[in-house]
Amino acid sequence: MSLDYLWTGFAVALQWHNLLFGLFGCFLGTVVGALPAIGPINGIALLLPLLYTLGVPPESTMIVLAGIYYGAEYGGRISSILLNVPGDAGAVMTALDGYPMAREGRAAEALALSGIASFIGGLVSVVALTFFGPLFGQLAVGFGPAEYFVLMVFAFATLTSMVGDQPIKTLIAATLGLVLATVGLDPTSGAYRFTFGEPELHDGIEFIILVIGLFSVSEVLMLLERQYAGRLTLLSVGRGLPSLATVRSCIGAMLRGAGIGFVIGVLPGTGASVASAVSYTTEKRISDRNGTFGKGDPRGLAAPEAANNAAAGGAFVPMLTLGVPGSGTTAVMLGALLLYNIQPGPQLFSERPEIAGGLIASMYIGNLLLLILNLPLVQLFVRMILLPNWILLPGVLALAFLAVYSAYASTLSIVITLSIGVFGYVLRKLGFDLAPLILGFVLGKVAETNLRNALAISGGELGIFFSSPIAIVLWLLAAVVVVLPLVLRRRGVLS
Amino acid sequence: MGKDLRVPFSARVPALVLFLFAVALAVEAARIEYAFSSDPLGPRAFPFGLAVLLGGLAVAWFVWPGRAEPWPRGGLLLQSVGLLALAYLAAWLFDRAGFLIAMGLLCTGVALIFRATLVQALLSGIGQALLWWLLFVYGLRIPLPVGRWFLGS
Repeated sequence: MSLDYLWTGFAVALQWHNLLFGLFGCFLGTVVGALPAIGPINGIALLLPLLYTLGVPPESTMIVLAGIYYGAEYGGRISSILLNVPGDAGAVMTALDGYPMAREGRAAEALALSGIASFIGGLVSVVALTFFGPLFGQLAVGFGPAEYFVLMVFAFATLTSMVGDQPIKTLIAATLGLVLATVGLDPTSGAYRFTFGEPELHDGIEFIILVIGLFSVSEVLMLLERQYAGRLTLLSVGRGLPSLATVRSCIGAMLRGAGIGFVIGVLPGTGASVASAVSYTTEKRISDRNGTFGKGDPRGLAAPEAANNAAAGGAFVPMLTLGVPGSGTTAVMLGALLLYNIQPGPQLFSERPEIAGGLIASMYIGNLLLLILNLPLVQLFVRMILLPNWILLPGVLALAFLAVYSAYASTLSIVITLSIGVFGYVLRKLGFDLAPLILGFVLGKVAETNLRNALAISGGELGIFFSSPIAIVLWLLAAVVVVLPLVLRRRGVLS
Repeated sequence: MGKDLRVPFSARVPALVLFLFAVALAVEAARIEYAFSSDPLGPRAFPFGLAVLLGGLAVAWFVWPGRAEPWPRGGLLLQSVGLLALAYLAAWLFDRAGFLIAMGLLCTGVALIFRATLVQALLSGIGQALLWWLLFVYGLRIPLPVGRWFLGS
């Protein structure tokens, strides 16, 4: 495919009013991303009718909306790192090493590093979208239920990296996550599972409720203990930008995260949460030789953050090339295109180059704008954790309430969140790591649905899981992920 | 990984609870009702398999309990329970008394638990309730409850 559409796109995106639209979208996205559970969909839903009514041209509208989408991926990390309250599903993994970095007095470094990782992830994905978009679109078409299931097997294989010095507890946590994922209406048979007649549970346990309960509510209880023991003191925030050596040590993690994030982002129905989870566990498998992941290792922050942003870019591939949305937000953006009577698909690049090209060009520019916008703002954001605990910690709980209520408009959801918080606190006291539980939950639903769909297609024949080249490659990758570290450890390459 | 006999039985109680939970889960999974299923596995097999796995892991945990942190006692226990009671109360009041009262109460109470003076706690409570209200209702156009009690329904 010729890149003429891209030059047309740059000519559109670099017009001063579109630059301003892009900047506005990036800023708004960062704000809505920083507020847990609000997310880009709300920002887009808020602005789309307004932009349409005001007669803003479609290319400018798409530039604003893409800015919100990208900005939210940047913003989601802020509350994750500073407060252990993930701003969105993709930012959960960021908290695993980002929050410990902040508690060590390296909040500014963590925020700046995550901004750089987001930039790298976003850049890699938009370059891949530019040059290989249609190719990856075809890859997405090749993924049936069997391939999705084997992809989940691969993801579970990377989960073995989470096994620490208490393997039984890690396995229990992952299994509990899988169990929680089975709650709700079974889409294949229409059966209600573990809902106990409660309509609020028919849709299952919502991810954001689980995450906010497990991380934020339980964290406030843990901090109360620290205060009681006299160990809760005001934090320092560090000097700001990470050193060149730190950035250099994270480049591999960022690039791997970006690659994984982009490929997973291309696949409809997987999304940033799976991308960042697989990226984190893969990176831990590759780089965590001294057991520093989960304790404030910059690579554990950089990999999922790059993956998170790359997945956002990857989600545009099926939307632009096939007219199939890759995520909830791109589904709303697809709706925005249809609102303007524009049909997405391969012909979009030739028939409306100013839309497809303008959108892709705005991603290049938006990424740069976000980096420029975010790095100086680091010192402003980190002041949040310099607030006294009597302001900060009530604020964390208030934010948890607001996030859950604004997403589900139900007080029972708040009660469920609090109860999950108590459950998370008990698990932490018993020596459990919460990350495998989250991973089990994220992967469980996709794994079961695709396992059963694949078996329905094959009439119960297991051969379907080995019937395509994609599935075979994924099986091999899963085997490598499990076996290679064992071999390397035996040879003394890994500790 | 030999069985550590020095570990007190109380450390094994959570494993016992988990085992009972796994049994209940298996029973509940076996009782899932459905009229038809388009796949050979059906909706029971996956959760039932997970229950069996969880039961096995609970047995392993009972034998090798591993490390755990001490539970809160005395004043800390009181404060933890107080904080949770306050949070549940705020959740109950959320749509009854409205966001402002529920959040004002929650933030004031939690600030007191985190050693604020009464004035500081009131400042934190009233200030945060108003700030979040303005941001969500007017900034983000996300409606928050004003309180059923005040609407007369």
